[in-house]
Amino acid sequence: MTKYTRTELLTVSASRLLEDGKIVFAGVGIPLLASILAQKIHAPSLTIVVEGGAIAPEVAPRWVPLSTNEMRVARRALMLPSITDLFLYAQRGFFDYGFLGAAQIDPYGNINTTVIGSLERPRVRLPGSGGANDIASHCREVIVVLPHEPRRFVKRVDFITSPGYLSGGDSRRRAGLLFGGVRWVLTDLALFRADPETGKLRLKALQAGVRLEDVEGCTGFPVEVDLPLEEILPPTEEELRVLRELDWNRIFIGEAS
Amino acid sequence: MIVSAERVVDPEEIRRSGDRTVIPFFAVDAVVELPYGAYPHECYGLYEADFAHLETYARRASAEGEAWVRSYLEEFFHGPSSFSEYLARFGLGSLLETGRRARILVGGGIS
Repeated sequence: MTKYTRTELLTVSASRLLEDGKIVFAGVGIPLLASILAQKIHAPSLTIVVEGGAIAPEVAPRWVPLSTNEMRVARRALMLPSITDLFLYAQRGFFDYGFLGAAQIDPYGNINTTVIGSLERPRVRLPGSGGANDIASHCREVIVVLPHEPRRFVKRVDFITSPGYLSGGDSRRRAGLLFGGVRWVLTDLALFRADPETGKLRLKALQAGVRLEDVEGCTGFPVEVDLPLEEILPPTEEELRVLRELDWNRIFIGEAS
Repeated sequence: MIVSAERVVDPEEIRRSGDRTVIPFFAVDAVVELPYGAYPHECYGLYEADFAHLETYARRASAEGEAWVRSYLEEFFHGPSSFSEYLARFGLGSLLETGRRARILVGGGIS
């Protein structure tokens, strides 16, 4: 079996969550690579939308964008709206998927990318929201991708940068967010799905070779399990080949071990 | 949203100048290819507004009021059974003339 990096694993498993014919709001790095990979493997009519203001660009292999605001993500786009208009389309509910990373995430899918520690006396300052809050608020299915570590999967995030299901139940709706929300949380160990009723994350599948105990050991809150647990198949040769052709100098996918 | 288009072009043509697109495809439910679809108003570069017609409308609607507007709607909106028949009521001469004027205007034919 071919060896792969953690980022390759995350990118490939994320790409499989994207259905053909849908519209994905993707940032640079894993989201964009996963979206292009999906187009090439199983979803040729997936439309990519990029925050800087590009609708349906055709990213060239070996010209992977390094920022959401540059020529490579505008290449052959069907439309180049302003960033304000692009987020307006999100508000109107046009985008099926949104992709986010997270420094911390809680059982209700709330995301922190602002600060570790208190806001007044931060231990670590993080980059903040950028477009993440809008994506979490308005995309119909949000996919959160992050490495699985206990310090990231916490009972309570230090700060809610981007809303998941807030305190669960109908609290998201009461906050005025009438549609959308976190659907999947994907890590190098597992895949969680948010329960539409309670808003709580439930373990749905394990990455190949991972045991339930591994996930529990790396999660800072009790893991609720959807039985029977599924297993995510490892990346195929074809998926890795296409991915490595895209990120040919391994800027995002990391050094081969 | 239904888009009424003077001409349907290949996506390739749209990709060549994505900065000129004003409506994203996902906001659109249907596209109708309908030349002269804005008539008696204009489509830039293809046909000028039919100013004589608009002028008559404004004058008579103001002078004769609701009854005349009803007869106008009957003639131009309810009456025609197809869009071609609608256009025919303006007359071929008007369609050709407004097209000619638009070409002169954008084609640099004015000194």
